[in-house]
Amino acid sequence: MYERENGFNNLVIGLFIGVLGYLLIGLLAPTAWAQAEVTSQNYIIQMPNLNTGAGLPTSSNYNVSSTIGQTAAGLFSSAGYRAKSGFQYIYSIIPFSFTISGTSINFGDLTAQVPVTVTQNLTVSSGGAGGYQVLASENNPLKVSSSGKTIPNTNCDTGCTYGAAGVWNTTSKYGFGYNMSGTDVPSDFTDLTYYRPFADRSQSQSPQIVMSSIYVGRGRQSTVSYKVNISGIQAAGKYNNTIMYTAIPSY
Amino acid sequence: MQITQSTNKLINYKIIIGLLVCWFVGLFIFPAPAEAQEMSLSITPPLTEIAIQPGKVFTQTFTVSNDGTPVVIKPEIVPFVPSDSNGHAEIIEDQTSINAFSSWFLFDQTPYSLGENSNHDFTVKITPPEGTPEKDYYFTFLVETQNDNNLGVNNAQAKERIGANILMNITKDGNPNKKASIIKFSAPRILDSFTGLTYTIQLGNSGSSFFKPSGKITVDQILGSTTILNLAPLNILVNGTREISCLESQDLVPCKLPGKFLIGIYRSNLSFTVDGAGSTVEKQIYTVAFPFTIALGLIMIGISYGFIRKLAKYK
Repeated sequence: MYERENGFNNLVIGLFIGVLGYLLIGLLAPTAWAQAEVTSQNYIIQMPNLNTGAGLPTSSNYNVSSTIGQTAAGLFSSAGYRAKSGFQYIYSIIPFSFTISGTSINFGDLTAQVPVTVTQNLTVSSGGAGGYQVLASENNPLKVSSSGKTIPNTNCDTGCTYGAAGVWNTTSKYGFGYNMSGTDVPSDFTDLTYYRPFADRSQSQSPQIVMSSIYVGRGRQSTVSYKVNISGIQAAGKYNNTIMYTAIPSY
Repeated sequence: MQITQSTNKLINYKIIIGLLVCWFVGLFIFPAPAEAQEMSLSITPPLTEIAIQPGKVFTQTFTVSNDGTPVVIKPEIVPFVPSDSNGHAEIIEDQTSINAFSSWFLFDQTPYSLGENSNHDFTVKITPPEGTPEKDYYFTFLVETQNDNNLGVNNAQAKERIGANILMNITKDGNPNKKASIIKFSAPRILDSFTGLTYTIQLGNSGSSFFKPSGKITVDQILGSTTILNLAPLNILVNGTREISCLESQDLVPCKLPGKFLIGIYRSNLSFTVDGAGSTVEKQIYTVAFPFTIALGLIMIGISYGFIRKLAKYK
């Protein structure tokens, strides 16, 4: 009799501990659903399932309120149109992003026949449709705005153009140009001695591809090396210009 | 003695307070070198595809996020044309082309100040006018930083633009003619067993609307196993061609048969439909894989062995 009561008590205690454990696990364990933030080594997504916001197509007679982006296809049809947006095909969770490591490329005081080189990093993460390209151009050559005097774009040692790099090592060759190294850069930048002048928009030259890939990328990075070398007869002044980088995802 | 200890304590306090004052003043007089100001923009969605009747209204929201230094950004929409067969766009920036479509898009073009770690929604109302010819139109929504170069030093100022593409098909009945063709489906006919089998696929669009291929490459090893490579559903624009990659765990990868050692005859069948509907387009190719390097090695060993034996006999 005593043993049976004892066994019953053990059972009750066991059940109590089990229920308590279940409740504790249930209450304290991380909730798998309704995530406010998803993280990994490669990305952080705030609110992975949005009910409003980017990529959400609406019309005067139709308003979608469903998950968008990486977790749900944005396909919908309505009277008069049909649309798809976002990442529904590859279910990518990487937004298309573009980072330039600095806004100003400062060359300091320039001395004749002493080339100055300054570097800057370009980083692209392309999700969605996959692939991307980055184009570069300048508004004009390095110029003193008050006098209009310019440092000409480089012709390299034996010739280069805004579409084809050439070796530029000689200190008696003057001008302004750039080299690309790192990921997804054009193949004509064989090594760090190869330079191109920037495409000059004031001369109606088309922006040139400086990074390009056909694959979905995470943190593709390249380095732009800007080089200025002036002659002894270069007019004094503060020379500057603007370099435009345009990053466009593939379609 | 007590007086001396108190004096020492007072001196110590004075030294500590003096050092704190110097440090505090130093913070303002000798600031640490400024970190390079980083520009970092992202945009979503990077791609919008629309089939729309002339005169109808469609609204899309583009969210631009800033993970870098505060910037002023300005949006614009420009037409683009495909620049190659890899899905890259060449934006058209001449004012005449931009103005030709300016009435199609209604959005706030006022420059917007975007702080660090913040984002902004640009709502674009798209209305192709009545009477617009039924065909495809391609655009890029761009945002551009507005920083000016006025630092007064020898420098170049970097500006950033980031874009999102809009593919638009103007159609009255919603069923534009979609026509695909296989421009190229190739792989080596004969290869060494240790060389991977990689396919080149180029598809064309001779219809009147962009589409995506929905299909696969089925690789049958004669008297062996079957492997399936899934085609990436990449857009092919009208009158254009596109190199098609394969899809593996959400990543675009080259279409390549996995495995380190291939032997025998491989029959590869490319099959796809246009946007997952209609008739299937197919093409088949064959590849023979043989261990040529092993055979060559064995022949060389045999010749060397024979030569050595002959030499030994002669001696």
